[in-house]
Amino acid sequence: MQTSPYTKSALFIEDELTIIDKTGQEVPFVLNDIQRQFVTDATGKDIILKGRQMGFSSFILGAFTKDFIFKENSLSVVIADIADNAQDLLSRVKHYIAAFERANNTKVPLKYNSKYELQNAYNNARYIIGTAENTEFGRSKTITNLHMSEAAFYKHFRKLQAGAGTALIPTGRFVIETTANGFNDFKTFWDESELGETDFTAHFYSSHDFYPDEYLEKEKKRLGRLFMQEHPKTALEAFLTSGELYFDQDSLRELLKMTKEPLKV
Amino acid sequence: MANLKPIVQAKVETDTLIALAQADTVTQAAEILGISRTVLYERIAKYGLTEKLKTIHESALVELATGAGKAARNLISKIDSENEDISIKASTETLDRIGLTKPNKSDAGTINNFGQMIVAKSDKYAD
Repeated sequence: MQTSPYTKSALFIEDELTIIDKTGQEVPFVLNDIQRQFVTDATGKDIILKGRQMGFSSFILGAFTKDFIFKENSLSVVIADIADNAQDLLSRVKHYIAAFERANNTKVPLKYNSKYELQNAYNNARYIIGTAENTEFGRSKTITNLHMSEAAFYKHFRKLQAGAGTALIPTGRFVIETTANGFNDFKTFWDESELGETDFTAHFYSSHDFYPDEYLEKEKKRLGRLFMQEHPKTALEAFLTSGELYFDQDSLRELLKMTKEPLKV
Repeated sequence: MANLKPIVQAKVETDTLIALAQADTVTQAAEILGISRTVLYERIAKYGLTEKLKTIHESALVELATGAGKAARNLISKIDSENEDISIKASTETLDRIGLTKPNKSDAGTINNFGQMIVAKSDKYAD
């Protein structure tokens, strides 16, 4: 059986890390069903299209934290859509490192601890968080792990994907993760990947497959017309209901129901 | 002719163990031995040195514990030293030992166990 590139990361996360839950309490990081499914599905070059708040960023950041602590000279790079999100992602990484230190009564020796970069003084591993606004980001580096967060919202998705991807080592992990943002460069890349025209594996995760009906009913009431956008049932629905919409969402939904499969592709 | 292989292996194992016990980090141990960290990790796995190192540390702790009473009495006696610097230093150290002073964030003892902890866990989390 082929082992997922995230198997050991999942073990590390559940053994060593904590997260802050929705009530503000620090609790052990136990993977949810969606994160577990991704561990099973992952190939090492993955595109994740998803609904809101599924915990992928938390998982991926935790997975890369393992390499930051244990893998000598590794370089983990996370690209956020905007600077505010980059800082949030780095603060989560710092929380993981602090949790690891508490769990092991140790101190990870840091050579650098800046706003956007951490360097492990012991093994020279680095963790860099950048923003998609810098299109040269990731070039001329040798990257071990690469995470493009909310990639459908990048202005220059293709340029970043190609540039940073070139710097990835052959055994490196590359994960592009996002909610949909209408029909744009990311959508084209998704379609190409689904058709096997790129070396990425496309994964769509719907809230409807993992969350109980009661929770989804609550969300429906809370979000109203935005529900379909936040919790799409299919990848196509995700793209159709997001971005700057020209057509009415409800009409699109009804038309989508009437759509028949093509006789031949 | 005598088979030298087991003798050489035993020597390599002992030297590696001594270097690991002396060094604060795996990198330092590799430097002492004049080998790369990769080779050192291979030796650690081959000879099961993580467990053996733990046993050494435990023995050392027992040895230290037997001398702890004497060391404590010595430290306390220095509190009454006529030399003010020695007296203040001994007082601070005594309070530190019983946890009545603020711990130093960059406590060297804490940092130094990072390397040993990594060695102990690296097999478990290696991809």
